[in-house]
Amino acid sequence: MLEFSFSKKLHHQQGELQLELTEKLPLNSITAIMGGSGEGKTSLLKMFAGLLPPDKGYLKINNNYWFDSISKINFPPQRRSIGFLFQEYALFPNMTVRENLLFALAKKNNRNIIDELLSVINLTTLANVKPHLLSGGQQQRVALARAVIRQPDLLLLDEPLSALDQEMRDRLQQDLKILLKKYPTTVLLVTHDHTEAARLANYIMVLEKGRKTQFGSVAAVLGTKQLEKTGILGEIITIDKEKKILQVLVGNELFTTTFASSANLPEIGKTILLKVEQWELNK
Amino acid sequence: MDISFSPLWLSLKLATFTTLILLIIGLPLVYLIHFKLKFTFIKPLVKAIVSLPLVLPPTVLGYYLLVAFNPESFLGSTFERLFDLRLVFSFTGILIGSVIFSLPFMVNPILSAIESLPAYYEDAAYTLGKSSWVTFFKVLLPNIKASVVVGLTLSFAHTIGEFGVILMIGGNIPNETRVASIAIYNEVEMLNYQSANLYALILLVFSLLVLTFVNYFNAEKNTGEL
Repeated sequence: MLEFSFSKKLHHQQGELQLELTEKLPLNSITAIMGGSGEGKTSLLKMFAGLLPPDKGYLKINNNYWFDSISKINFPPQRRSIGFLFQEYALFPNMTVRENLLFALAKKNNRNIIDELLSVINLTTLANVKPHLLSGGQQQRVALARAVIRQPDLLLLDEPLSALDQEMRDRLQQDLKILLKKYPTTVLLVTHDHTEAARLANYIMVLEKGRKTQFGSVAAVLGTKQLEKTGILGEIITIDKEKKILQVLVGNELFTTTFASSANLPEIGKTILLKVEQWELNK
Repeated sequence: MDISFSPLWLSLKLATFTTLILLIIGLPLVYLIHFKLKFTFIKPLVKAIVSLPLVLPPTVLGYYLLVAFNPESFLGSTFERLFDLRLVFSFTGILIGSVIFSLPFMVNPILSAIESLPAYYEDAAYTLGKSSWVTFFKVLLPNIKASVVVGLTLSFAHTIGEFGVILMIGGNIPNETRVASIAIYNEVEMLNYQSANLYALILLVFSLLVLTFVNYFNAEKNTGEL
């Protein structure tokens, strides 16, 4: 179990935010933490990483405390078994792709994992290139490989797909799935995008004004009224113009919805916004 | 017209030793200020102390050093007892004075470059299990190499151009403390304008070359790869 309770007063441009969050998550699960901008999502990840101390609370994984304000335990990031994928990738510009991965390795780790990871992210041929010569998607994949290379107990992903185009998203999503199958770990991913959450996670936690408003399986959370106003993004898989039915992929689940007119209909493969009342699970 | 090369040689020697010593103490000092004094009230104080020589008249700094180096003083007498070295009117004395006087020229460019790097490099290194010391030398410093070169060059050039502090604590002793800048003053005092002219010209050309090099390096820093 990953158990945590954080209480922290955050200061940002919009003012102050009191973050209060308590939850238990099963090990080796993937949880998406969702919320708008300024909800303290990145700060939350930093609290897990030990880069930002909570005012009060605790954090324990496998019954080992990493943080406990009562008994004054606060492990620095170096002593926590974590991997952190930064929104800005944070690859070290002075090192090549391979050197970035090598630098990340602990002495006890086997070096063969570097070549293994390079082939998973399909960057073996660019191993000796400096990061600034890579595309955004390639940099993101290197950053992901670097985050998992120490085989951490907790993997923290900050908006892993948001900066990428559709093709790159699919690619990274696939890489992430392969990597997590090979090196299972507990994952927390922060996002403001329903699709990203649906695509990657088992659980979704929705934050609003620093508090948890919803928590549950992806289908349970995304099917609730909460999202009525915003709807959910999905990818069009098939269009039946005669029966006027669309099949839309939301996360790993297929939905069908009807449409009134064929005019202005997007093409297959495009992303569309579905309203909740339009949903009907395709069983 | 014949001039003695000893002052030029002495200036070069002083500047070289000063720069080397500044590199050895400057980097750990930057490390200390950036990593260990973060979020403490001591940090602005230490930064202010390092920068003091920028605003103090050299005579003020020279005066305090003269008082401190005096053989009757604690520092001066300790040095004499331990190393059999006299600090006033000696090369060792002006070397220590130069190190203090040029400290901001080494520390400030490196520190401000480190502080302008995005915080996520440091955070990323920590999440990869690296200590702040490893992060400093393996991640931060290699990405600001150009600023280290600028710091080294400015320290060297500034020491070559130093006058007030050296005159206060070193006086004007040939082959010991009479560096090029002092020699110019000395030649003028003795109305040897031709010699003064030559020394001045050499220093002028040298300074111009150094600043051109620094500017070239700064431009490289902005266009070249990190």
